[in-house]
Amino acid sequence: MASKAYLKILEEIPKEIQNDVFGSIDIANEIYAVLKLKGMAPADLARLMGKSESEISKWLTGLHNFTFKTVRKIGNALETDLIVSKSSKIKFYEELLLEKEEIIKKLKEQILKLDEINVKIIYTYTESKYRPVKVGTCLKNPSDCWSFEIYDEENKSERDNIKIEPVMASKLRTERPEFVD
Amino acid sequence: MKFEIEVIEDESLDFTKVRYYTLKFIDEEKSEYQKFIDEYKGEYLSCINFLKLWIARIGEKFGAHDQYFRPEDNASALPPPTKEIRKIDFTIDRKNLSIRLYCIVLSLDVVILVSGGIKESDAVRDSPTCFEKLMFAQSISSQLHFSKKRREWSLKGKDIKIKNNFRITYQKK
Repeated sequence: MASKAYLKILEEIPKEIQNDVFGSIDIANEIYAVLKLKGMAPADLARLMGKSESEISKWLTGLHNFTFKTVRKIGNALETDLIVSKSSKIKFYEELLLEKEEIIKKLKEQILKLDEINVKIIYTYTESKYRPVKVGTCLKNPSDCWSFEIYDEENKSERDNIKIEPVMASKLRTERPEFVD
Repeated sequence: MKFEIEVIEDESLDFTKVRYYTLKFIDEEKSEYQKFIDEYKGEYLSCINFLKLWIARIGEKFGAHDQYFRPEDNASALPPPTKEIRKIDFTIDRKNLSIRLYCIVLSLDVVILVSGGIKESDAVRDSPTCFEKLMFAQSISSQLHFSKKRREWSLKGKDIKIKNNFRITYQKK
């Protein structure tokens, strides 16, 4: 469901301008996505199509008025369909959704089986020095989230490089962190 | 004299993926973004529509990824980069590409829309309206950067959590 703000803007701006801008952005994004998936750079696409790099950059800005022929040529070069019909898209996403739902269901069952979950805390400091920190209570239900409050009384400076890894209790080799109620 | 600035949440700029915030001097009624829109919506209506569509599309569909913003030192600008297109394709309406809206990208979900102007020259410093707004955006961006270090604000999803000691100011021209 689109946000109210988005629907309001679509209402305000003439359909013609929207099509001009958005039609090309969608194609450009599709090309971007395929290039990323294949680990290619825009320069590779230029080489494959025998075009200049600047022309490819122009396409990728999302402002180029693509013809169907150009889109098909790009699709051929990338060995993919850049334009897919709505019905096949819906079918594809339905299957994907079903698959993801299955995975979520299995993961939930696994989480429920765990009696105790500990965490190993890996933290580094920008000052490249280790220091003891106190780990607060979990902010949310441990089975859903790994978000903890971290207290560093000695050094008040911001640390954004704390990594928290959930591990099974039996595999926990490091000292159990001190929890503050 | 320096005037205090508020960070404003605007319902009409709250999209599914990105919430855009605007800036307002406390002694004024309109936000800087609204003043920018009002100033250019007459003569530059197509540019404003073009910008609004980009803002909406990034906010609703894409998220605030780097590729959609022009880097401007510690700030950013919209519309997205089109340097190449301007060099080679003159059929594109160059007027649309001459407008700049400066913004500060705080995360993939949070962007502050500052203000902008018309870029009449290749170098921003030669476009008076644009340069002034760029300086404004850069000043706010660096103040936000340092106040974040001092933990005066933080991000939680699309929300900006502001503490009581959070202040940003700017010398009005």
